[in-house]
Amino acid sequence: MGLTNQHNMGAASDPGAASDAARGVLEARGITKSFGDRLANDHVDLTVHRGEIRALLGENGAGKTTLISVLCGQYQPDGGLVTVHGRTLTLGSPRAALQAGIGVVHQDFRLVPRFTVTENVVLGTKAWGGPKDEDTVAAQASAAGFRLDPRAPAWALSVGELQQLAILKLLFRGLEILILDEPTAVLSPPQAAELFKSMRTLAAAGKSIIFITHRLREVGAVASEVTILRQGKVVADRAVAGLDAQQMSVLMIGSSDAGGRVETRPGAAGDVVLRLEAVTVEGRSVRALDDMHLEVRRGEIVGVAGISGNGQTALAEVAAGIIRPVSGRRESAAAAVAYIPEDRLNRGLVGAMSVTDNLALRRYTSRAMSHPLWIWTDRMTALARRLIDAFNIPVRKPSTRVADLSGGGLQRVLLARELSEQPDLIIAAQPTRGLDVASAAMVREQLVRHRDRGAGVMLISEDLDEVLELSDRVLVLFKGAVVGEYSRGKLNRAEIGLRMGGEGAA
Amino acid sequence: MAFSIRLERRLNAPMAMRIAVPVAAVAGGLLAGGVVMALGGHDPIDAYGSIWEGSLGSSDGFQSTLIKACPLVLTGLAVATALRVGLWNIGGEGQLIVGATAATGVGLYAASLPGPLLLPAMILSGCAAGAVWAAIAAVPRALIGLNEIIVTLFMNYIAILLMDHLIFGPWGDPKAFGFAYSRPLPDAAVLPLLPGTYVHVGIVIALLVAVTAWWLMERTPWGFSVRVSGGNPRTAEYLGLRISRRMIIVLALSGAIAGLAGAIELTGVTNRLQDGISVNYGYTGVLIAFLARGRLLGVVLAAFLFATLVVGSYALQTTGVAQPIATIIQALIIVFLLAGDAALAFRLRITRTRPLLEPAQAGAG
Amino acid sequence: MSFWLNSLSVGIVLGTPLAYAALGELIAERAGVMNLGVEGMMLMGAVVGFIVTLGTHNAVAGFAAAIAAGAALASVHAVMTVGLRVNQIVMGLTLTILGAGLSAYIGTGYAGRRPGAGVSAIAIPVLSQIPLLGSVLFNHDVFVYAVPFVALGIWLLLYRSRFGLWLRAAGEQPGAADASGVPVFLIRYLAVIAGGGFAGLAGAYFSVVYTQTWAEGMTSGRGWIAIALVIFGTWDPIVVLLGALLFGFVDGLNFQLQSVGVPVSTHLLAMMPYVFTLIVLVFTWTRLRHRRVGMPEALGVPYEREAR
Repeated sequence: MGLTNQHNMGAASDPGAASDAARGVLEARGITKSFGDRLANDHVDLTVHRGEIRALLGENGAGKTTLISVLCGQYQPDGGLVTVHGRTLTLGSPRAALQAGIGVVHQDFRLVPRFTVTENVVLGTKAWGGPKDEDTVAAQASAAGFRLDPRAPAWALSVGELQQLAILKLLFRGLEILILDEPTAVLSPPQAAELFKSMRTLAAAGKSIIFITHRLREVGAVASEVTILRQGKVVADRAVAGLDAQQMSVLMIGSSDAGGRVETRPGAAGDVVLRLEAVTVEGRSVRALDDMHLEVRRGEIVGVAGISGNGQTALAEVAAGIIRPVSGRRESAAAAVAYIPEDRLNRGLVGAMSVTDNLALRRYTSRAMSHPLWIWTDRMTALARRLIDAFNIPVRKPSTRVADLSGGGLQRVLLARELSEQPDLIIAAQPTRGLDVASAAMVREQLVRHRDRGAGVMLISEDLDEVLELSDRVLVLFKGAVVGEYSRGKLNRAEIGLRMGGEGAA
Repeated sequence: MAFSIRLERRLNAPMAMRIAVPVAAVAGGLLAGGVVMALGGHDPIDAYGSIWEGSLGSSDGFQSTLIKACPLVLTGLAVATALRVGLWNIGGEGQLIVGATAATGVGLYAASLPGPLLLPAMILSGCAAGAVWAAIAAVPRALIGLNEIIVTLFMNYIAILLMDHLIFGPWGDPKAFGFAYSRPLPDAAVLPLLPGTYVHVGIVIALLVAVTAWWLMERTPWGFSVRVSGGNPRTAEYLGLRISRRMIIVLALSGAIAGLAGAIELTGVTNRLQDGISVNYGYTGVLIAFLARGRLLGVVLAAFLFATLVVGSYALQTTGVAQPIATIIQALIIVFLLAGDAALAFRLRITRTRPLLEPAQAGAG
Repeated sequence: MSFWLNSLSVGIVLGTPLAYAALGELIAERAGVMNLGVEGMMLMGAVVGFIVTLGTHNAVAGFAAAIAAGAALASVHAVMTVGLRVNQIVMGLTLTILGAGLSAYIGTGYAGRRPGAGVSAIAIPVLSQIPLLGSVLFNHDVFVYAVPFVALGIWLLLYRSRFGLWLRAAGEQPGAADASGVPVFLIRYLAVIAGGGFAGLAGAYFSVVYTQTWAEGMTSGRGWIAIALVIFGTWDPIVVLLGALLFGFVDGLNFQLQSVGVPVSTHLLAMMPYVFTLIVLVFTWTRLRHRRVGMPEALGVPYEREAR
């Protein structure tokens, strides 16, 4: 049949099957990787056996994507060892990983839109995508239950079909270790069910599958083993049997930790300053926001809990008035809206410009700063110095380029700029993600202070503890809709955690 | 045992290093140029001495340098201005040529204009033509995202062909016998000279343009908004700035500056429209803007350096070193600068790798 | 009639070096690297080809040296843009200026001389006897005859071979290619260097075969035309070849008409292909994105594996 099959998949005919069963087809030990001062993977161990479907569970930032990037050779880890069938794998080389039998279906698929299905499938192998290969691909596709036309250009495929194409790539090369990164994020429930069916078939044929998700229901639906990551470390590594959603969510989000928290009084909510009614925003394939209803009042902090990828970015942008929903309405009584985006450098600041300039981004046309023919740079610098002091921005000179600042520095600049306008409405998306302790504390303290001043605050955060501690009301965001609402006195951490994973009474 | 060498992005490079790089690049270029000279059996010290004498070390040389610097300052400014809004204007060559062409047209057909009006009319028409030429690239870029590099490149060819058509055709000098230049321009169409020198006032105009461009981009609110749009279009959108409008205006301005260079070369240096009115000025402008790190006032310095090299190289005849060494040195400076920028952005990381799939040493499982 | 036939013949000869240079640039661009240094590489090829031919009385040696010279300059481009990820526009322009200066520098003293060896036209038996067209189409040198095969060869390479698939992938989605195990960096290096070799060959054709002399800056912007040809030819080797012949024809027409004294503006004529291309680009740009033919998506963008 002309397959570039490196390993015969029948368990009976593979002499290695017996020892693999004991030892594990793939073993990763002590994987450690940092980016700057952020430790993404902290001595992570992972083992997968033949025919096993292992779920890799964790919030965003827990280190899942980093781990699989190491496994597939895209990243070179700082430390650690990976063996496949007992043989050491050369790290940092995508070719080595492929040769060892490791294949990944990334969230962004990594396909070539201009190529046909066949050309995409055979890319990197000895085949070139001609008629013979087209036939092979057609046969393999239907064997896997995929309806793909081998001649179709990839740009014409739907998202679900693209995913099938990506999986087909791995099957064509006879890869044994398949890693799927949040595959259901772009699928509708029936499509997800189909995917699970395919996964079970593949596992039964002897493949080993690692399946990344943050949706608890999916773990039980298809996986037999689960590894849970939290803040770069493995916190659980066991069989799925006997583990219920509650326990999983507690492991995933952790129990409340102590220290570094802000003292808060409950707020006194006033008039509605932001209202979203039946707001829908389209995403790549499924809706980013789905008929969402939400209100924020003056003098209250509304915390939106949820795992990234459930519509947070769309929510923040609609709430801040930057994008318009496809249907539904946004009403706002706010004169001044402050927006703290989660992608600080790329969305909220201009890296090539100085701290002074960035701090003045909302004010440079005001009478105090300039008149149409001249900017008073000394006034801009004076303002910058005041804000640098007030917000403790770690720069020696205000003329420092913003791109040179650390995460904490960037956030301080953003806060200084946005909050010094005395806004009525503050939308803060993942404001403490990746920050040092002092900066994170400052962010929280600022949000509370402005709430006390009478502003309405929407705090969107993956850090559940932070949401629970600061919010007057907590909403849980899952798949673009609000699936739970809790007021301050009635916060139930366990239940919220379940809702974040898609469980709990609908 | 194999090694893997990889480049890792630095988080930020120390300020000292950032200032050192352009300086080191210039030094490196000069040094490498000296090596090239030495390879040909010439004495580099001698040669550089001649270059100095021919450019800055003598009154004649200095005046020639000022004259040569004029178009370079302007084309460099044109590129640097466009960079403010995040666009690469590599059509300076074509914009310069249409500027010269438009000025010629005014000079030939409006010759009856009174003296003091003719020259300014020619200069302004040059600016306008350059602006239009650049706008033709700017509008598709702003509206549909059509790559401005491709369009400005094409506009260069079209400009040259247009000029050729005119100088071989309707505007040709009947006494030229197929040589590539136009009829001579009226006497009034000549730029005045700086008193006591034979330097035309173009250099003063160029410096004024530099200061004006700097003022516009660095000291006005509008210029600030342009820099935001160029620095980060996303953030600009969040702030409600209209990027497409700024792209068009700024690129048109950029073209106007290049067109001005053409008009000045025409009225100050050649006095006819001719092939070779631009000696790669437009493309050299890109290098100059790059050497100046995109800074508008820095362009003046970088242009001056390049002009010094070119003018000085004309004095090399006695040393036996060929004149083109100037362009070689200019290019080498930029090569070193690019390498230096890479050193600022990345650090080298050498790690040992184990060969593919060898049996594991430690106990498995 | 002979005027037109003559023009056609000259056009074919002028279009040949354009085609080689453009095809070389096409290879580099399909791999994702923009090389604006073609003009400089052609000039280096021209001067080196000329000097070596003169010195060895052997045109083959001359052409080999020219190809090497173009490739050498291109390897600088490759190392800087692919290896060090520097800005491809600035680097390319720099190499054009470097090539122009270096070629003028080492060419001083050779201006106006004759190469002393050459590549003669070979009349193909039988075919060249065909009335009218025979002498126009079948009485040229080996490079002219080879160019359609080269274009075809490149087409086959790109669309019917594994290497071509990898090269196209490197130009469209280097991230996807890398993840599939394609050696993106190596491919880009090879493509750029090959492009430089072609440019060098094209330059030598001008000096050794066409004009049979050396003059500073003798390619007069034809390297830039080659770059335009790639765009005009929608990055397809066959269309690029046809485009090169078209541009060569118009170029040749120019000289012919001048020598005959006809007051038709060939310059305006020569403008047409550029204007036409621009108009087509404007109308198809947004639709070009995912169509089969068009600008490689990753053209001009340096690839980094660990980009976050």
